[in-house]
Amino acid sequence: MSTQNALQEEHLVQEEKTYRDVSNEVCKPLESFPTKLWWIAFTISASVMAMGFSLIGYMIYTGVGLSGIRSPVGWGMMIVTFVFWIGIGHAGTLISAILFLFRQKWRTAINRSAEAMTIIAVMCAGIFPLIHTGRPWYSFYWLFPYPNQMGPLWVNFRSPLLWDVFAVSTYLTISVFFWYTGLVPDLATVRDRAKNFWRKKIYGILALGWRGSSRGWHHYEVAYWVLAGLSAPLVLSVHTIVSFDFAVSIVPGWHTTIFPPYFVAGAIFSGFAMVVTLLVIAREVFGLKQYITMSHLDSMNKIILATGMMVGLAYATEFFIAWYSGVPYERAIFLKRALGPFAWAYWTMVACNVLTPQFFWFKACRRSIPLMFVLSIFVNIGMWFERFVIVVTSLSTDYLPSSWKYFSLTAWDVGVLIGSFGMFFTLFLLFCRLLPTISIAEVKSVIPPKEASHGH
Amino acid sequence: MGTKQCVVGYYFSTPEILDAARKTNQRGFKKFDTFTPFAVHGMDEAMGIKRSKLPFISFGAGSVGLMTAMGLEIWTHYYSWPMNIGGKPLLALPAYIPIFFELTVLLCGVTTAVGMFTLFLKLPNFTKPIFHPDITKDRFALAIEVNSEAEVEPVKRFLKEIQAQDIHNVEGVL
Repeated sequence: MSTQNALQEEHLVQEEKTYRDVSNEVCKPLESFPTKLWWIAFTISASVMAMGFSLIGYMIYTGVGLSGIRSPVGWGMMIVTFVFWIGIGHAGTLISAILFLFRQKWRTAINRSAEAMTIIAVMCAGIFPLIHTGRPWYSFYWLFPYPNQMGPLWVNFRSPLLWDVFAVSTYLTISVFFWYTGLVPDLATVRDRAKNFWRKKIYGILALGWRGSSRGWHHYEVAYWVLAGLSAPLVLSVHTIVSFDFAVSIVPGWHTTIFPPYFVAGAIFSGFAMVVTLLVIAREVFGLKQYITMSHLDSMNKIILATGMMVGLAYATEFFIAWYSGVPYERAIFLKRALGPFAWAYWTMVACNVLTPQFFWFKACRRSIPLMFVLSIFVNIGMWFERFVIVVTSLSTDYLPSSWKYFSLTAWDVGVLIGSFGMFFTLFLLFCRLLPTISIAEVKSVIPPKEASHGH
Repeated sequence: MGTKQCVVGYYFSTPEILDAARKTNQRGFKKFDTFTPFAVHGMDEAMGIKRSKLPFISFGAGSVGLMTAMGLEIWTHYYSWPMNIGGKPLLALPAYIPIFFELTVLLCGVTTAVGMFTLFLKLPNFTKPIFHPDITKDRFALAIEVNSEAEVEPVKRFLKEIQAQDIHNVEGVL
């Protein structure tokens, strides 16, 4: 059992836990009445979500003119926030699929919640392009190829915007299937523990009648590998395609080949920051400190540092290439980014994304809960501003100086943006209450068997 | 004509259940299974389970997805309603690649997950016996299916021999 000895040294789970402890402690938040803290958090986030949706409703009723989008800036807060939320989702898939393929066993404690975060973030993201269209009820006609009486008129498969539709909907679907596949054995655990009739019924149906048969586990593991193998390139493709929305155009500042890797690195960077933000809270509130250990947070902070450096390198490369290309428009737009009317946004972005992660060079900082919590929020502010800088600076000062115009967010923009955070936290809190936040079966499989089975 | 029964015994650690599964397999039992709270490493070899055929289904579904995307994009743009957009070629294969990829992944992934549960695990199924509620917690079960009442006793003796605990029999199939 040499592999198990190796795992023991890694301290994936703190203290000596038995299999029974894992089931009991992970299921505890599901089986007890929610704490006061949970209710407070839920009430606040649900109210913020309600506010956001009311604003969206009114905005659609009146027209998207309420948002700050004015010619020449036709892509405003909606597209910025869409890219932001899609990016947040990427860390979940990276943890669940790519770290799984690299056999990083430490992912077992965090993959469930990270995947939930992915799905919720993509749902938040999906709302924005729909509002941006102004008439979301037409979206189906515009977005999907379906047989019709208008020619038939088809969607334009040569457009990156359409690739995006396919990429994001595939990403959401595959993430949901992957997540659910992982959930089934744990749902069976919840079913078998349930004392209440309805609880047993509902979780029983969701668990599909899972019995833990080894012949079943065999196929299950193969399916898990296949799904991980598919999700890994999928997640890279999603932000690549989102970046194509910009890179395939001929707008200065957007038309660069560095965009796909730059966007993917940025997505993972912001996503990991969000995972840290959420898990710092969740492990505290739900008493899961022995499973989501300091070494997990340490590893995630290292990834934030590495991807933060990649993002910083991309910023520098963009500037160098703009100068090196000799194209006057490219040069002008990059000078304007750093020194023009949006310099405040640009330097906010640089400060948050390039400077803040540098703290994580030091072990003491990587292991300080208050510091990592604050820094992770800074990273997310920075990453929202990164998309703001990309979208807005290039559009507000394009080829024709007579049409240059400053862009500012309206109160509606800010309200809807905050509302999307309300939706994100509401759904995440519901997830923490209703489903096992840690993959029980996977954590059990990384506990050394000698310790885990006593107590009989 | 006897009713089908399962004889079940329990273990409490992975080395024990692996050892028992290996012995049951070596003794020549065909209709047996183990039930564990998590995927036990090495169980496939111990029970003599052959490689899963699931990847073939995944590959087939992925190919169908790719072909669907190719057919859809080429047919709509080139045959059904050719449209000149910005002078770009009608058969713009490089521009079709992202959707080739996405539909391949979509069909392959969904079929793998759904196919695994329905075709291979025969789930959802709520009629089969759950031998013990602790199997999803910390108990490991070994169950052998027998065809008639007469076989129950010898199988129980075998389970005792391989140190199973709380041996009992349940009506039903594995």
